[in-house]
Amino acid sequence: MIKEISKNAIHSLWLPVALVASWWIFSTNSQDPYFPPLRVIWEQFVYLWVFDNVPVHVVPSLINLFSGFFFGVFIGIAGGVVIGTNQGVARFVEPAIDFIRSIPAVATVPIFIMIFGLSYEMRIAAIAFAAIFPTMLAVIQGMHSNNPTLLDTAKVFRLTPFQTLVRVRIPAAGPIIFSGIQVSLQVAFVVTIASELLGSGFGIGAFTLIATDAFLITDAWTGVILMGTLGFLVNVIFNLVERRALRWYLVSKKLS
Amino acid sequence: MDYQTPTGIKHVLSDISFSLLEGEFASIVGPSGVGKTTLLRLLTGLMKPTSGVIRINGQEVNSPPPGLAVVLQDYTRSLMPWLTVEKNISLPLKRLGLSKAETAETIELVLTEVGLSGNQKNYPWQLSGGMQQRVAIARAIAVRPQLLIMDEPFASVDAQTRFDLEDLVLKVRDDFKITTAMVTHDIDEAVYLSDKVVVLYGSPANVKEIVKVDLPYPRNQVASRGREEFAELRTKIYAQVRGLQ
Amino acid sequence: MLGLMLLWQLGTSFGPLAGGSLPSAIDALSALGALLVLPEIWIAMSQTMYIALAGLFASVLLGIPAGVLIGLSPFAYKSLKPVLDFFKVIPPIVIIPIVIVVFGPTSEMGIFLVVFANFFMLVFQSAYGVRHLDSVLLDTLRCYGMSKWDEIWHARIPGALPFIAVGVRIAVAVSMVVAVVAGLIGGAPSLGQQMLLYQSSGQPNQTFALVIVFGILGLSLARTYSIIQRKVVFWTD
Repeated sequence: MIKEISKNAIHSLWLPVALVASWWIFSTNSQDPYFPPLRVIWEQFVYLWVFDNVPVHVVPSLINLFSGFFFGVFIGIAGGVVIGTNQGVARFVEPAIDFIRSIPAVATVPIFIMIFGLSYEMRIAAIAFAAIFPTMLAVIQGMHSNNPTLLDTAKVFRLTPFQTLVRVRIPAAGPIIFSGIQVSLQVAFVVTIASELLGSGFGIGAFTLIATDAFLITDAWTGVILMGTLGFLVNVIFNLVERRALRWYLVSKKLS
Repeated sequence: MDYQTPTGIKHVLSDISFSLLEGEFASIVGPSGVGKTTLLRLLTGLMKPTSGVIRINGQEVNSPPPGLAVVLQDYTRSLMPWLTVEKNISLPLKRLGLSKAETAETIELVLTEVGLSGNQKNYPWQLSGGMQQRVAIARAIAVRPQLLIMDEPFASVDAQTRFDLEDLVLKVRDDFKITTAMVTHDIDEAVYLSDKVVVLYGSPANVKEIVKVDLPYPRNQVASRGREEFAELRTKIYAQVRGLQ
Repeated sequence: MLGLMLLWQLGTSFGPLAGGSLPSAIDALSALGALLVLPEIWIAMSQTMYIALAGLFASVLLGIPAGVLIGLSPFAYKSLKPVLDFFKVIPPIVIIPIVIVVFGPTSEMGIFLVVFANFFMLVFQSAYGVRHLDSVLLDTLRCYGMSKWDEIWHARIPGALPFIAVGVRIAVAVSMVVAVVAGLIGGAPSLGQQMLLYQSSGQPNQTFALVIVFGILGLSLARTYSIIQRKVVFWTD
């Protein structure tokens, strides 16, 4: 059993480890200003980010990200439910949503800058706005894909519309909604960084921007690596949450 | 042909032994979950026995042997939707190394045999369920197999189509004399089609009995099923499958 | 659609947004009209399209074959999966600071960004599609003694096409977005950069007008791709 697990681990990890190692080795004596030795980057990374700068930059970024994200998802779910269950409202609003959805989220940031100026409200607003649409669209699709047999059964059991909604329709659309929320999360992350790169103030993106302007390439590398890693971690955590929430779905899929 | 079989990994099958003569049609029946599909997978060489040996024509079977054809229950998934009917049939034919003309001839022949002449250029999803299964059968005949294995081939079609397909199988068997082993849970069907019925039962499953079906040929849905012997055979097998005998 | 526009117009004329920096519908639309005659807008648009399409083709030509080959080898797939998983969730915007420094604010930078954005996702989709051949089909083919080559060419690759098509559809959208982002944030020649210029020089109507342009471009690209997809993967719904 242990042998299986460690064999698996080696099989999956040898390549990433090898890649990092070769980067380290090949760049050791690098004189290139754009590609400093990995060792140097690492040292700078530890120096900057292991706890000194965290509250200054990382925390604001994360706060903006999550506030905007939850705000947007909340509106997305609420709006999606309303639109997904109401033919009339849907017909009225859907073309507009389709259109707005096609606009790159990052392109909306200048608009928010125009309205709110360069402030934290601007960032949260932009992040929330971008996060609304993937979730909303997923919820709408989920409502449309509700199995009619399920709905008929609920009617036979005389559930109130509200009960049907909360206890039947939304859970049934769970997988679709969750994948929409995941996209919202990714978009929120992108807009968070975008808003920092375009604006000013604190935040990992802002920090990296300043570093690049000041030609502190190594610092910029640390910022980039930090952002990449954060993006990855946020996704991983989301997947764990999703797996827990959708346990019923995953197990039933395996059995069918 | 002689088969002697294995114990499955979870002691699914134990001590299975029966033989199938050339040109014979055998049905394999048994209660749900007894291991009929496992047995089929062993026969086709898709699975290797954990103990014991399977032989076809005296040759040991460890992987799908040449001269094998299969018709499975889920026809939508066993035919390739991106290929036309004729390409679906011609693909396994490549092994035989026929010329282009011979291949086209063969395809026309088998399609006519199953009543789908002229459908070469259609795609499977353009055809009804029954027709798709006919294409699967046509594909099976086309390779002129030594052994045809069918796994609940008519379980996914409606009852009417089922009767049509059963009669098609009889016709094919008359015209081509292919040795066939078919798994089914429909006992009436087993009796109607076969020369002998192998009853699996128990846990681990073994061959409870091999029932010879002596009904005369040619068989007929109305006449054959109306015969006294049919009812007797059917009842006997049914009782065994249900563990009443 | 019209209703929303009306709402927008009313909102900006009389409502809480009146007098604010959000332009009214009429203002934005007339700005859009005015913009469409400016040559620089059309140049910027073609530059954006250039970055997006060049990047799209490059990532497709690199990513799909690589993904197919990786999918065919269980060893390669298992080894590369963690790397793919890691990189495919990193949004390209994250590497912009370094890429700007290395490439400068050029089209090449934009193309590199587009490729970075799409490559890992396409490799993953292609590999996944090739690996997940329907078990019933696989059993059938094995029973009929089909050669490995036939299995790959006639079954695995066509079977993977729906998955690859999904990947390409995403890549199409992403390419456009990243081309805009490359301009907006990275200063590459594109409509994105144009938009930034308008915004920072205090031309709200034009800025907003460009937003509308992006929406239209995005929609038409998506529609075009749907048509192409239906032709290629004709057997799916």
